Amino acid sequence: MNVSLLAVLYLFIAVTALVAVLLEDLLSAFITLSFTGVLMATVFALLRAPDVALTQAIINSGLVTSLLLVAYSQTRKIPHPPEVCDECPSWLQVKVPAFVCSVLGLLLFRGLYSLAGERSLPEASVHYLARTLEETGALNVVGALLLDYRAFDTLGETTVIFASVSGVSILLSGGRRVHSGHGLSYIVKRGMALLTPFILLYAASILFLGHLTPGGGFQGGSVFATVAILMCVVYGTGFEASRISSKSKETLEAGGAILFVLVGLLGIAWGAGFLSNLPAPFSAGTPGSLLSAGSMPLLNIAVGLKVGAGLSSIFYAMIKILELEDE
Amino acid sequence: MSLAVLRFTGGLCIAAGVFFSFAAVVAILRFPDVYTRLHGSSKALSGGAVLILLGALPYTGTAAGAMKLVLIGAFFLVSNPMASHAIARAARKREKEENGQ
Repeated sequence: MNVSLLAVLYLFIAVTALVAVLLEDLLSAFITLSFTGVLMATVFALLRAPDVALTQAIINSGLVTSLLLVAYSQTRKIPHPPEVCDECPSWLQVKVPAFVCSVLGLLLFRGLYSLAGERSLPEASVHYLARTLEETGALNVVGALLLDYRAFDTLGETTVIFASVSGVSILLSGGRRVHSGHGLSYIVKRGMALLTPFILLYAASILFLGHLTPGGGFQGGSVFATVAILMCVVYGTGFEASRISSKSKETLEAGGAILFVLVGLLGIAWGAGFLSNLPAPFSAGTPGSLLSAGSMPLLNIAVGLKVGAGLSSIFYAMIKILELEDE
Repeated sequence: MSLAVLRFTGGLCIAAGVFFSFAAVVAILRFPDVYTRLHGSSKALSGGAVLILLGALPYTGTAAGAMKLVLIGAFFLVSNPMASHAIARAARKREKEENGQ
């Protein structure tokens, strides 16, 4: 492993990313970003992760750049809002994001070098590396993991892509056929009011007991999102928007993501690796109690926030696009 | 009145519930329009689901499990007629709109 070659690549990645941020012209920024992607693919290949390198090269440098170009051709450039001072240099206008990015970069920098060194593999990885050929007959360990050991998971992932593609194609088909402005009849509204507390209780129990019973953040968050979606359908989108504003949904979603990453970074700060649970300062607690299993309850809450707020705002945005105006 | 008798009754309930659920499927497949299909499916499905839950009661073993079944049954009895009502109303509204145009 050539560490100095890696260092040069890291430097170029940082430079191209900075250039992409500072460039005024969006088209040039996209090209620079795709160059960053190619450099990262090279780094992955050097770090003996050719599968990730392939995905990185195809998705980031090819697909994402072309998607960005399509988005660029569909949008217009609007001038700066007047409250932003034009005299300030551009790096001063983004003080807080620049600070957060620098701190994150410093935190992750050490990890980059430990990746290149000799590591002791977790027990599961040792098993897969030693036994894959014998158990599956495949030479590509990553392929064997995806299509043999966890083929069921892979089916789920492709189904998620299928679902999102059908959603987007319904939106882009252009038909408007939904009356959702004023909701359903009195009976349904009353009945929904009767059921809502129970659905919320059920969602909370799935979410908060995720480390003790079946379920967890994803499932609980989806049930929470169901409440918001039912409110959209039963009481009308206007009522839902007035009770749970899109702004607060965005805040909750971002808060969930930030909480998850913070828990992960705490592991790095403790010197135990990203998202490490018990080696980081989380206590195992009494088995079976609400505060046990270390960071898992926190991560469940983070995932629940992300999924609940995310799914409900996706549904709201989609139904708003499809909605017919009320007469 | 022993547990065996209760379980036998429960089995009969489950058999009746399966029959009603099957009838609901036949109704959805064979009836001609939205209203008759709803008529067949919602009644038979409410009855079928609640009968199956009742029949499962003697097999739970714990009071908490039995309580859960009762709650699920109550949920069905509230939500299923509500959903059928909403579907029927939407169908009627759509029919009116299509006739008006």
